[in-house]
Amino acid sequence: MSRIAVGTEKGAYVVENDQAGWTVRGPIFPGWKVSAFGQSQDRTHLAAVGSNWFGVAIHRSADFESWEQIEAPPTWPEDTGRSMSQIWTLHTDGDRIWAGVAEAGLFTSEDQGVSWDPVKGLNEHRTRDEWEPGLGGLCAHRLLTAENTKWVAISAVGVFRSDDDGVTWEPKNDGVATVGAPEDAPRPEVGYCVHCVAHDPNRPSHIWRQDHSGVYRTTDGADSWHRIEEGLPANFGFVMWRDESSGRLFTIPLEADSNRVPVEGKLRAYISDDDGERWSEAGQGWSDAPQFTGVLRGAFDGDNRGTFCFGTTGGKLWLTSDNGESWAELPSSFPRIGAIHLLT
Amino acid sequence: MTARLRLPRMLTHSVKNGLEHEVGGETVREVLNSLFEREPGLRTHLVDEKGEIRPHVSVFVDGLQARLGTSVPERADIRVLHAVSGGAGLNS
Repeated sequence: MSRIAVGTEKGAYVVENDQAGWTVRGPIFPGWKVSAFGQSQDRTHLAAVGSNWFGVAIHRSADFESWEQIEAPPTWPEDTGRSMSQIWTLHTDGDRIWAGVAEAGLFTSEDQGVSWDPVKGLNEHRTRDEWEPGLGGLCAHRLLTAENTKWVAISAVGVFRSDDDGVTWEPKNDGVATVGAPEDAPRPEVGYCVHCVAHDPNRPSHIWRQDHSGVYRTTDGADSWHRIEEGLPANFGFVMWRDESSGRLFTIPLEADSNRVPVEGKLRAYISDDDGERWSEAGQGWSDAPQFTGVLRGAFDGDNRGTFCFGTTGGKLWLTSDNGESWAELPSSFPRIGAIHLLT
Repeated sequence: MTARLRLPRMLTHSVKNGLEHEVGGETVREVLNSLFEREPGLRTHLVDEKGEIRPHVSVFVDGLQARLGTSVPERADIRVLHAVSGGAGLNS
């Protein structure tokens, strides 16, 4: 049985199947953009919501049915001049939860998501004045953590690493191409449009990166990055996922930054079973009808037991339960999907 | 002064005591601060980081658009509305 939380431009939904077929519950938070889901160490569910009218909020739930909004979500102090437009990710790291936000920054919670404190070493970084937004805004959207080492992905700034549990941070983007600058221009310290990162918890210095400029891998904790694009129909996209049980990598290529749809309308996940050395189309079941839609970075999730689901900007869900060998489109349609969370 | 304040339905999940409140205050600022003591989760939704009413939120006192310094008469009817602007999605 699959139970999928779907975060959309207008509300969240729970999609699940039983013997009677697929059912949809929702919308939860009608009218709100549901931008991220999380789950704290004590199994409390978290949902980040936002609205152009009312700003952002975080809600907590024990059962994904009744929700309570926390009193004070991550908030920029007035003297920073920044505004909080979206919570992009909620990442659990032991008894700490990290929130990556826009305008870009990190906040942490030590009480299961009830209260939040800014991560000053990143938020007030010496390069901050040089940070510029991408199309999606200036946002900290992905976290990777392994004991005292942390990585954060910020668009359109790059990957930063902390080796001291988040106190200090340094940009780590050597080998990644810059976008929007001549090839012979001096390499800037920041200004890299990372779209997504995933790593191997057992080899945390091995990280895979879907960047605006292509697909990369590092094996030295982000000190150096190298392209891994063989077999991909395009090197643009937003998804990078690594399945912990099999080591299989997933990405969903889109044609280009100027045309963010699947090449020739062929919506496909691509997989690699050799750490990204070579990619191939994932399994069967894909639609023969053109699918000119996109898949966003938060809209792919897996349970590390062979089930993976992604949602599209066109509001459709695709599911595999055999580690990507066979795929099926689920029957319902939703608003633009930005977050997927498999409920266990 | 005591006024009756009504909130938009979209804030249903942000309140513990419903969308209608009897609140005291001489100005809109005081009324909102009274409301935030009762409903702390509303602060982030109605005022921005500078403490101003959010750009796409409107407050009306007895049918007239108000600012934080606007006086609130006894038994005033206060409506908090989301503006026509602001309905578009956030970036993804």
